[in-house]
Amino acid sequence: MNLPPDEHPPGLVLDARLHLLDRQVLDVDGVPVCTVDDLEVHGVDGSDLPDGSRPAVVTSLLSGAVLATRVFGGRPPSSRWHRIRWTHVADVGTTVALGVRGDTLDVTWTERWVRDRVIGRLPGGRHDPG
Amino acid sequence: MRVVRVLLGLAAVAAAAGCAVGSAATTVDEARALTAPLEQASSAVGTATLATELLGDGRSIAAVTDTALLDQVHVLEEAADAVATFVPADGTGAAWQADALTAVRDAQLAVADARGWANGAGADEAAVVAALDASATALDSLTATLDEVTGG
Amino acid sequence: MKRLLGVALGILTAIGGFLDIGDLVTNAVVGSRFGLSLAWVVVVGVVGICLFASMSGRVAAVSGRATFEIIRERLGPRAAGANLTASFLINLLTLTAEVGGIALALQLASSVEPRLWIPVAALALWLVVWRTKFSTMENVTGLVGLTLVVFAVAVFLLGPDWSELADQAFSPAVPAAEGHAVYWYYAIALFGAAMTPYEVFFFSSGAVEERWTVKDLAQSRLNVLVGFPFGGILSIAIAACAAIVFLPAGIEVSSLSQIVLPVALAGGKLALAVVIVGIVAATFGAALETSLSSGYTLAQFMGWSWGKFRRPAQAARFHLTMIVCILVAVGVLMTSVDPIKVTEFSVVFSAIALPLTYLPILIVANDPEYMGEHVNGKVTNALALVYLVIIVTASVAAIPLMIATGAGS
Repeated sequence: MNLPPDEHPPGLVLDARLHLLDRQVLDVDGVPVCTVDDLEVHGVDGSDLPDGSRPAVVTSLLSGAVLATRVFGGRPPSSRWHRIRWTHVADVGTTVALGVRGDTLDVTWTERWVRDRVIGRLPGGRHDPG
Repeated sequence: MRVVRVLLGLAAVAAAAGCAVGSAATTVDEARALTAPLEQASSAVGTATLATELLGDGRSIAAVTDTALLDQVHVLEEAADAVATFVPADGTGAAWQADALTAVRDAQLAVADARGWANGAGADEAAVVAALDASATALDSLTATLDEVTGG
Repeated sequence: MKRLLGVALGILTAIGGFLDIGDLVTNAVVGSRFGLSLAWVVVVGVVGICLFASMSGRVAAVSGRATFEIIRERLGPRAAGANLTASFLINLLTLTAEVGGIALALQLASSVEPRLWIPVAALALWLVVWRTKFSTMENVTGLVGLTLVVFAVAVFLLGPDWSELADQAFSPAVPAAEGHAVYWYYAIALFGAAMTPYEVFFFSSGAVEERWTVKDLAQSRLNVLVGFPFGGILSIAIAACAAIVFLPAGIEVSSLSQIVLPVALAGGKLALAVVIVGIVAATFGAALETSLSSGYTLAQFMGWSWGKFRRPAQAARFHLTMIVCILVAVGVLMTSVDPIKVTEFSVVFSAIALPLTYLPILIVANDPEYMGEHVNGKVTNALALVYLVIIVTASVAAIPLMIATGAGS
């Protein structure tokens, strides 16, 4: 079998599995948002299911309550996924930094729910620790 | 596979044989089984004596001595339970069990008295400590008798 | 001057914060049964925790990332999930033991039964987690915990036969009354008590809480390398007190009330009061650290917002996790389970779980992507490999020994 020659293009090369999956996502203020559970990839021609033969781009980071299927296998229902558009990604280092506030994203709905229903209602929950 | 099955079978037989030997205990085994709770009881009495003397000398506070004595009451309960549930094989074992039960019960009484004293209920320190000492001596001499049998 | 005070404060809180209910109970039990013949294990454990904590502190200070974020990122969801489950449950067990320890210590001061103290202790614990600043919490419990130095003072006041103690410590032998298996079982328990994994979650997350940077590395190393060995000396002092008073009398330690008796014997009421204050502070401090660790581990694994430097509403799931864990601990203790038994199990399970956190930290401390020029040096790595062998051996041997010895009985 002939493998294509290893190319070393100039610039940053990211391995999706190594550098993106399970990385911590931080918002523009450095607040943790979620971890990356999967990526959504589209062909540059807009096709949904790129087969690897044509160039494709990452369009979204996916996250959600999908730990069970990631550990035990299977496919989660698509309602579990929350998308963070790749255009919101500002930087990829040891974390994935976003250029937007985490509160505006769908993926943090559980955080907002717990805050509004439980923690925010307890006395002192909205004050700085003194 | 066959070898594994044979080995498993042998292991099961060996385990069953072990249990059978266990129930037909020898005198030495009986003595050993009674030594453990007796040692536990004498540890409890030792602690109780220390806690009581410390309070008497003004080196401890009532709450600490009371808690220490309460904890020893629980230890003695465990020891009494172990002695009471012991099943002797013959007359010697039964006699030992009766002696052990008396010794542990006396210890319980002595520690309970000490706790009463620590909480200000009658008696005087000397009497309480004397009772604890007597109980310790009884436990020790019984343990010594059993040790002669086990050779330990 | 201010700088010097900062250094001193860091070291003192590291000493005062070293001991928890696991160290108190295990050292006293071991001292009463084996004298100082297991003191060497404390030394091995202290060197290990120094190595481990300074490594995880360095990783946190350089990369700004705490332990469990890194574990998930490196091991993937499956292995990291298994790791989280084990670490989280053992941490919960330790939290339960610490809350029980607070209640037992308060019983010593009041002779009110522990079941009445447990809800009070848990409420106080939650209020501090909820409202107090991280640094205040650390400094107060650490400094008050320093009063446990009274154990070391007690050793001198008891006027022991020093040559006999030295003989037990330096030419260790299994006492005649105990079997080899029991000796090694307690060696593992003592190792687990000295190297509790929660200290590592807490240490690395604490470095993020206090916003350590590379500049603070020297200070953090000093805290660990000076503070923890002094903490280890206090551990040995607890064992020595038990060895002097209980071993010759054939008394076996099975309760917290026994642990303080040698101190009362040596120093009277004043020393007794001081040691009770110290035990309350040490267990309360450790209960705070384990509650926070439960929040840290889960939040970091899941990628949630966490940290005491944020308002509770800004780290809602993190705070909810801690509330639930404290409630579970209270629930378990209200079944009247003996906190001392819980403690004995928690230290052994800590030893079993050690490789789970140790190995990922070791890998990341060598990863230039995270650490840049601050990767482990050759000496650190050589020592780290030796400890990897020790930790894995202890972890593998723990359960068979636990079964063979009936948990040391």
